[in-house]
Amino acid sequence: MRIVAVAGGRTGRSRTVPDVLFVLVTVGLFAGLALVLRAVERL
Amino acid sequence: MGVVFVVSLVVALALVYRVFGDHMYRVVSGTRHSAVERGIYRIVGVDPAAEQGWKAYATSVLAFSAVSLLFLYALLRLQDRLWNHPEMPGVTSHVAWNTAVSFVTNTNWQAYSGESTMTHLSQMAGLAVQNFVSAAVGIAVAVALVRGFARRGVDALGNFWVDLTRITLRILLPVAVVATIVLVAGGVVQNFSGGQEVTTLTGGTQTITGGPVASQEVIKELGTNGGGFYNANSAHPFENPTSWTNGVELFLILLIPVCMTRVFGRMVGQLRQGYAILAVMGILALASIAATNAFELAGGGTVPQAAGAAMEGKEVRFGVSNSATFAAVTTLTSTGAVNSFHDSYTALGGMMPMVNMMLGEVAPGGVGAGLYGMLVLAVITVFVAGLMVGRTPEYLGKKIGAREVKFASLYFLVTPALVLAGTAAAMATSNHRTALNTGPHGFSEVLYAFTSASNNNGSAFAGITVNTPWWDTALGLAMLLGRFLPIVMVLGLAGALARQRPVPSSAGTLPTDRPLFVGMLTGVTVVLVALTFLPALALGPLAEGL
Repeated sequence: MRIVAVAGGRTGRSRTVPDVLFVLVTVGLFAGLALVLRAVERL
Repeated sequence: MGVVFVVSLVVALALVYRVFGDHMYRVVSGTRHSAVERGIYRIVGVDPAAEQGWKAYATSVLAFSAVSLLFLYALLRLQDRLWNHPEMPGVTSHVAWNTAVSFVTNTNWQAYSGESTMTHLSQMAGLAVQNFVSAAVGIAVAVALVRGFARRGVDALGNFWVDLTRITLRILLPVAVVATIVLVAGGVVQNFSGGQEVTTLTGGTQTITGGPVASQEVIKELGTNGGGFYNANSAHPFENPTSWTNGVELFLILLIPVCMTRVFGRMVGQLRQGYAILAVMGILALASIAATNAFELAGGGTVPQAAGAAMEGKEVRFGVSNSATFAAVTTLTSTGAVNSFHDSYTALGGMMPMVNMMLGEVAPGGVGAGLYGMLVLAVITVFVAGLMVGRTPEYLGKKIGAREVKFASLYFLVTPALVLAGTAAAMATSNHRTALNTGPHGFSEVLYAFTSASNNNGSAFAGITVNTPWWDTALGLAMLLGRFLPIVMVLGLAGALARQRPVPSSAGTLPTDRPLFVGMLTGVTVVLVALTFLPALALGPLAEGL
């Protein structure tokens, strides 16, 4: 659910945090999860 | 009235338990594919007859979720260049990422206000689609784990793409269509309206936003997702207009998680095993619902006593009891929808939703996630029992050895690590200052946020502003790791179990379908949570309430 009324309002497109950063973070996280998968295989 | 409401809910679930549970069992166990399903397999290039080992199954889950996340992120960022109705700008990068993670992980934490942020296209093609498929992913993983228990000496756990398609088309969609009509009949809105300007009684103007609410409301509850079309979620009269629709929504939340125990019993060929798991879920759930109601009806604190009841943050049409029951159910499952504001609850009443999530959302838990969480706890319980009597533990004829316990332990450690580390990080930095309160209540607001995100619940205590880049990113990480690290461990456990050949039960085997095991599993669940989270609870709601 939504967090609180004080945090509302329309949102505009941010130019401070580039999309490429979040895409890289996402790809990096899933790559990390794939590495975890390989690591736990040896348990 | 509160007792009558809960009893009615239990009776309704009991009536459909066998029929719907058996239907789900047939869906996940059948070998025939419909023409539509065969068409989908052809388009995506999947051989439905080819089964996957646990690594391939897990890789498919991760790949599907990664692509879904990136697609949803792009859709939200570009919504102003698509069918922009009602007119909205593109969602900011950090809110879009947080929201994409949130819906792909079945959390539905919302760092935005739906009616002032999302276009109808984003709601329907982005958020509602993820409500369906993220729920299907959870059920698929649970089914894969049960196959691990049921199969003998094989690597294969099924085919993720087949499971995903079937669960979506044969379980979620049909129920969603019927229940949408029921909710529309109950007064939930369903249209493509943008904002309508109306004149209020005092002469002011107000914009009332419509939209495809009922269709999203249903899968929000049925898939234990929880993301509301409106900011106020199920407290909004367009999402949940009456006490009657409130009951329907609670029924939808509990339907699949409860009936998954029937699927489990059928798949392992011992219905009593499913009933034992259901009994543990029922004991924990009813105890939590009773405690939440008791704390709220007692109305502890100066303000509730002066007002006559703890009604702050609650809708008059629901009252104290139906609000408290909804709060308990939404956190006992991984739903996160709310019909009242948990931040306004009494100190101990507000602690109960937190405790429910800290239990691991296993009573009965999220769709699929509740069952696999409870089965992991069952593995830990037979391990503890084995230590007591000095025998190698077994569960459903499979030996619980070092490899299985490692997977189960890692599964259990992930969420507390995320909750406690995240809370500590917020408190150690200036980020906790976005909470409206200081002292124990302010700490509770921070603790609740990380508990909800890491457990993929999505409900908010409220009282904290989280649409900052730090909060969006930190909670996004908690949601993503809190969803997929446990799934990797569950599928690893499933693979280890499937490879084993069952051992015959003997006089020394612990029966896992008897009241003794039900009591042990309930105790282990509570004790593990108490040991892990009691210090944190002592700093927040316990300090405030005692």
